[in-house]
Amino acid sequence: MEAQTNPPVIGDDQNLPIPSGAMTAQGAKQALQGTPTARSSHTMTTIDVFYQGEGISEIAHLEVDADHSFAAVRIAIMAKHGLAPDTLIYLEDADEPIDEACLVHHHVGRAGIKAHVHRCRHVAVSVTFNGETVRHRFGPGTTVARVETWAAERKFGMTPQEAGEHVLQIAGTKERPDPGTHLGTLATCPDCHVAFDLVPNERVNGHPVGMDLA
Amino acid sequence: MKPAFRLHQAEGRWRLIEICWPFILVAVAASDGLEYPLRLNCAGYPQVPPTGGPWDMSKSTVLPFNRWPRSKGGRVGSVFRTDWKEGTALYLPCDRESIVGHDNWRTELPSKIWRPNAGINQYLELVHELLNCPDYTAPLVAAA
Repeated sequence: MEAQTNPPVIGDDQNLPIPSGAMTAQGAKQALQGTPTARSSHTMTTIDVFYQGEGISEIAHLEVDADHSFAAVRIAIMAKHGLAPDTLIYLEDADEPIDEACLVHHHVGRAGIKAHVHRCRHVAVSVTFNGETVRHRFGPGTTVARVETWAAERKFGMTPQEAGEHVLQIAGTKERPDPGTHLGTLATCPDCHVAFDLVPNERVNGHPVGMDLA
Repeated sequence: MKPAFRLHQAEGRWRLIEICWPFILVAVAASDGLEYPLRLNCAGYPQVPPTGGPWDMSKSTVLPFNRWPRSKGGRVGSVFRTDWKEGTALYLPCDRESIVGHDNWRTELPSKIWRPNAGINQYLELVHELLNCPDYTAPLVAAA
C-alpha cells in the first residue's frame, strides 16, 4: 500500500462522547476520524501548542501565531478551559514557569510547543522501590518519564537498561500513566503531590501455542 | 485528529499511512530508526479493541517473520510472537484477538487492558515502548 499524499483525518474529536453499545461501521469510523478540524501546520506564521494541565483530562491543542507571547497563550488556554486567573504556564519538563514575555517561536521544538498550565508552582513527588522512598519537587509540567529516570537511575542506582524495564505506578492503584503524562495532570491545587511506586514492566505471559484456549 | 495522536506523530513515534476502513496502517518507529507498519482492524472502535500486527505494504500481507523485530529474550519476544495467530495479531492484552482466553490478564496486566477512552494511542504507545526498550533488536533481514 502506498502512503497517500493527503492522508485522511483520523482520531477522536474530544467533544464526541464515547458511544455505548454496538456501533455501525459508519459510526465507528466517525468515532475514529472525528469531526474534521482545521489541519494545523507548523508554518512560518503559526505554531502548534500541545498542552496538558490541571483539570484538563488529556493532551489538548491550540494553534497560535509565531509572534504570540506565552502570556497570550496562557490567556487563550485559560479562556478555553475556564481556568483560574492564577494559573501559570510552563514548558514541558521545566521546573519554573516560563517568562510570559517570551515569544512562542523562540521555544519551538520538533513537535511545536509542549506546555503545561497549573496553579501549583511545584508538585511534591515520592517514589518508592523495594521499601525505600525518595522525594523531590518538580515543576507540574514534568513528564512521568523524567521522574522515572530520576528515581530509577539517579536515586536507586539502576542502569538505563534496568530503568527501561521499570515503570511508575500511582501508589495504591494499578494505574501507570503514559511516560509523556505531566505531573500536573495527576495533582490538583492545593494538594500538589503525587506518590508513585517503581515497579517492573511485566512481560506478557501466556501459554505456548497449542495450550492457549483461543 | 486527536491531539495526542498528532503530537506523537509530530515527535516521530509513529506515522499514519492510510485508512481503508475498518483497517488502518500506522508505521511505528523503533530505537534503531527502522519503522514497522502495523495493519490494525478497528471494527467496533472505540468500544472494541483493535487487532493486528506487522504488515508488508508492498505485498499487502503479513510481514515475513524474518523481518519482524527480535528480542534478546525479554518482553519484545513475548508480544511479537510469530507462533501466535500466524502473525495476524500481537500478543497484547489490548488486542481483540489475543485477549480471548486470557481473562487472567485483566488482573495480572490491568494497565495493558484496552481502554476505549485512551483509544488507538494506547495500542500504539505499547508497541512503541517495546520497539524502543532495551530488549528490542533489529530483524534478521532488513526491509526491501
